[in-house]
Amino acid sequence: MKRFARPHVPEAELHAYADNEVSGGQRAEIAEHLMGCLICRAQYAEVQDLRIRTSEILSIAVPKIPAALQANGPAALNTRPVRLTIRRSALMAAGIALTVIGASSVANDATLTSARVTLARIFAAPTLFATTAPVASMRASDPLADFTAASGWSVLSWEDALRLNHTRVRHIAGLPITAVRVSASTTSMPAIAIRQTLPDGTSAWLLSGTSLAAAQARKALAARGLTVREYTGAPTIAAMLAPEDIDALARRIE
Amino acid sequence: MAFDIEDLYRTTYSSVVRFLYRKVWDADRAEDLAQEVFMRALSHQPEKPRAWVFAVAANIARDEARAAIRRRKHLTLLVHEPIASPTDPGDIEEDLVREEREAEVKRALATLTPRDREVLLLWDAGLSYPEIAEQSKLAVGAVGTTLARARKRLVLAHDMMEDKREEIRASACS
Repeated sequence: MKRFARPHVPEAELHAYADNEVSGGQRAEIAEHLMGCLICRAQYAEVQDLRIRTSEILSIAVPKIPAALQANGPAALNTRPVRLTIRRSALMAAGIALTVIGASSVANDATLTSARVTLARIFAAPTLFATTAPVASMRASDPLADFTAASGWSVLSWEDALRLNHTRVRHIAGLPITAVRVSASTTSMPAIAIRQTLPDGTSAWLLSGTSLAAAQARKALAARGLTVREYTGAPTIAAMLAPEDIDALARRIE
Repeated sequence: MAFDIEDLYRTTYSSVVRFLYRKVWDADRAEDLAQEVFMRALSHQPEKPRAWVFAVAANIARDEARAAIRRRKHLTLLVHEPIASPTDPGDIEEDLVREEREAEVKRALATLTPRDREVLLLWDAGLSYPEIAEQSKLAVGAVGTTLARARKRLVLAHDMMEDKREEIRASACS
């Protein structure tokens, strides 16, 4: 009976409660009241709806982001119908987009001296890039194929990656960059995954970023059986190389 | 705690840009002003950096608004001619829709009192109730009340605009 004697929770307090801005004791008190009071529970549901609607409305008013950053990056290359078909095709589409964007980012990379030679090397790796390659082998040889829009990653040009991070994107000096992926996190510096071609034609993957996305990506790379090494200041390198060779690469991170 | 500009930049830069954008409504200008905020933070080394950058951003945006009014007075004689650019018509349409929807948000925000709007934008930028209270000279207990009112008014104003848009569309079709 005591429950009914207690006053209902004021609306402002419900907002504070939803915003996680009440003290521990107060929090428990409100939670208990909500459990027993239908009226307040209904009002709390309304408050939660208001919060969501407000965020939605405000999220319309944000500076326009480069097209390449939008969640369905490959859609820019007219793969939208493909995405509606089976998953296998969607993955292939991602692979194709990866080739095209990888190529353009190579051409844009100022650190590169012989863009043409590198391009030839990219297209000479048939299991990776031929459009007829079986999806399984494509995925097996390139973990970046897993970093799709569905898992929260977008394809990005090197230029856009630089713009996005405002300062610099960490990479291994002197090695061509053949693909760039960015996690869809908008709150802080996003995680960035970069594929770079090693002198022997194989690839190394470099991850920077402190977010959860980077940790998950690291796991995905390790799951491929790649040697993964972490270095202070966040970057991670994964490659089919011995640890000491990766350490040598790490010394070239810029 | 030592002042860490890199961490501050990483954790707040995009929120500061968004916060400024909703005041100046120009993406490039918002980026410029945000850069200015962080330059000042670097030389000032504030004790509570997160609250500090938003306070400075709010001040800068206010100065900017005043300067914009002055500029407008001087520029009324300049004729604005649209620059034709070869863009995909689909993109143009998408941009128009985007602009229309953003203008609705802008108008909906304008129906709030300056203080309600400020509190709402600060909350959306990720500040806590105590941080918002300090910046807007409110009691911590009043932040919830203010946010409740601001959210309701924004959603209501925006819904009304959406309804109106739908009505116009419906009457255009019939």
